Amino acid sequence: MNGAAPAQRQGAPLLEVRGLSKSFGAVCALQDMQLAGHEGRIHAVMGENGAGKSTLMKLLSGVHRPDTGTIRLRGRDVAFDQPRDAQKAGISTVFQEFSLLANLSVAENLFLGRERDRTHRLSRAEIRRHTARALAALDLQIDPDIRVGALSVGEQQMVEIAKGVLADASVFIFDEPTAALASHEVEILFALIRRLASQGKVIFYISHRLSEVFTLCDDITILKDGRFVTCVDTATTTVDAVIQGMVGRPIEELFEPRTGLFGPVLLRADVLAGDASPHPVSLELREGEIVGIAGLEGQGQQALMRLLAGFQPALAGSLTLGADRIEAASARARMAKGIGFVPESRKDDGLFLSLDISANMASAELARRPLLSWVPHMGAQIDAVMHQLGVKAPDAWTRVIDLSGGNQQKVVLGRWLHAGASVLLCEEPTRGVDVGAKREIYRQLRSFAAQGRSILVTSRELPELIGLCDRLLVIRSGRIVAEMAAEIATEDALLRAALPSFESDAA
Amino acid sequence: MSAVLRMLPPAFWGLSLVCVFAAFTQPQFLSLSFLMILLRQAAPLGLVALGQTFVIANRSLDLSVGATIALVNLIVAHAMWKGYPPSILIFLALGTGVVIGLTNGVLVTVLRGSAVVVTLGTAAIITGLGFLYSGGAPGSSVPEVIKWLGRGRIGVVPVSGLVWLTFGIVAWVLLRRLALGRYIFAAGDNPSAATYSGIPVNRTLLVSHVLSGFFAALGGLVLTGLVGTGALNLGADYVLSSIVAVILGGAVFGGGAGGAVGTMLGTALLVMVLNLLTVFGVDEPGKLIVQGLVIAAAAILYQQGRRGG
Repeated sequence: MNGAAPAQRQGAPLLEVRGLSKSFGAVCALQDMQLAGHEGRIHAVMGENGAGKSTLMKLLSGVHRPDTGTIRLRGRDVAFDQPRDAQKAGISTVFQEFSLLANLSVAENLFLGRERDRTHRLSRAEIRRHTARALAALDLQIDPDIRVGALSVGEQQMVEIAKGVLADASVFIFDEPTAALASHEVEILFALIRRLASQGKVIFYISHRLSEVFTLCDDITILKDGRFVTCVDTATTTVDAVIQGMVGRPIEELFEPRTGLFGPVLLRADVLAGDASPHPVSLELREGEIVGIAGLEGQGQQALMRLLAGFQPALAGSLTLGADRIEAASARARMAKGIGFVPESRKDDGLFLSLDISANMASAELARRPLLSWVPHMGAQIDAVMHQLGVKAPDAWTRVIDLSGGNQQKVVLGRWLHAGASVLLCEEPTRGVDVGAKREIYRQLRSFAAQGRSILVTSRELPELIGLCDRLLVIRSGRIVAEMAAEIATEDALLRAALPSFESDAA
Repeated sequence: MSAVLRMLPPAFWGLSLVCVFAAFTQPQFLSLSFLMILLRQAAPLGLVALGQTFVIANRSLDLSVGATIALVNLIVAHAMWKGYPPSILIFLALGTGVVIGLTNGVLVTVLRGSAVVVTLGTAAIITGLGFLYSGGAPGSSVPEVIKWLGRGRIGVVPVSGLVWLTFGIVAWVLLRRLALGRYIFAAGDNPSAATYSGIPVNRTLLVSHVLSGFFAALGGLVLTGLVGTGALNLGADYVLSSIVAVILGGAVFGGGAGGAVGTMLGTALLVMVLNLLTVFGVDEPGKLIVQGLVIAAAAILYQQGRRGG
């Protein structure tokens, strides 16, 4: 996909890491790590959560200091005491959380802390001019005077990158940069990263998303359990091989075998329609069945899930859970009857970040109780769910903000296990979750269904839907346009159904 | 053990420090009789702060507590109630608090107003109504029962202290043992996640405001008993102080933390410090500055925490 052929991996690397180790207390986060960044090449760093990616990047950006090992930049050993040292040495890091001030303009942000030149204080006009030049170098159409808060997340990220360009950085580190971006913003970001690479910069790109890594990156370094596994050229490897490197097992083993044993219909929507989903939708979920909703982004998946969960009032049609008609019931009443909802944005809509695991898991079960009812101790039940899901935490009093993405997602799932939901409406079950935790979540969803319950799931990742589900529905412009058994479904067939332009071909 | 220590609110450590400090500099502070005087003084504020705990844990705020106290005071002290049984008056006073809380709650939940602006507005309205009702001349016929609530003693223990303790237990039960409390902390930490869990977010917030109004009225009753007469603008400084007490008790702006025990310790710490300041000759301006600094520090801590998260 790269416009220009990537630079060859020859000569001495600009940045080279050897024998790097770092321990936090008794926990060894990184051991004998190696990494080599060549000019003009985009280098992916992959591994499960806890594999040591973030630690490695924090060592490179001066947030932490290594216990042993060397970082060589342009052939010379360097040691960073603080992030500022790394920045001065030309290493720019774009973290998931930006360091921009929302109330200041783009230009003010870019020159924050360096309003002074070596000789004089920069005038407003000079700052504007430099900013315009930096933005132009990246081919960005952003007004230097606009308030950063008024920019989209994607544009803010661009500004963050422009900051690095302005500081004349030669190494750029991206930590899960696409996590918060819309798909068109991802395209712009990729173009920008390629542009930086073509200018001879070294790019390190951390991501969970294999598809992104394979479209964008030239090299892939794989980490596992804080150790270096391998470094491969993207052109000569496969997705399966990379996953195998990260998990230590082949991809087929990610998913649980299908049972093929279904009971009677558990949830039935019959020409159900709501405000945000005007086209009537009919679907059925059987006991023991996992049904996936595939489609391009923004085709009404969210609206459909919320209509079924009751966060959008139903205007027409019927919804039946078991023997109960529930289309008129509020979301809260539906949840009391056994519907569970896992929203896509875990941090915004799913978790109580500063509360502990216990409070997070108990919330849905508690919500069924009257306001002034006595709450019994549920320590044992919560511990049982934590154990069942394999949540990695010292105890149920650990705050969920301190958990990894995978464990946080398990907490959200655990909430509905604890509440005894019979139908789970699950948006993006493994977003921002590492491969190991993905496998665990797939296993849990399958065992949830195997107990005679059912799951409706949406996902942007087609291989996930195909591997996880029994049956797939394809949604386009709010209509369910195709249905296929997951066993025979292919990404190609799903995309054909999901894309409007293919419709005429198929006909 | 260390986990338990970490869970203790800042007020616990502050109170320990202040007690040690007082033991060395002003030992008479720690005598039983003086502590009982402090308790009597702390009780009205303590009650108001307990109410404030609900709303702050629920990511809201009640700036109308001061005006509620003032209105309760004017109602109770008004000459028109002479001859009525005090129980009716107490009922009326507490009912007023509930109505004010309900009004705040409805405006904040149904009409989605900002809690700060809404309660600031209702505070102004309540103050205006108070002036209309009293004609600017507060009465002085406070029933003996209410005076007993504010000033009376059972043995050495002030009645107001017992009222505070009793309602402290009530608040603790509401927050830690009933579903309501779990809803408050959940909705305070993340209203969206609470909604998606099926928690009745609006009803919870409404109840929090009603409780705050009720506790403010109760605090107003006890304070009126302590003062013993009607007074214009009684309790105006309780808005600030109650928030400070809740913050010292371990709550954060943005909700999801704090508790009844913490708030009671926070109130004790605040009253202790204010009295120590008096002893050391620091006047009203200094006390305001100290309280303001606490709130500013809490706001900064909240922002830092948010960025860190």
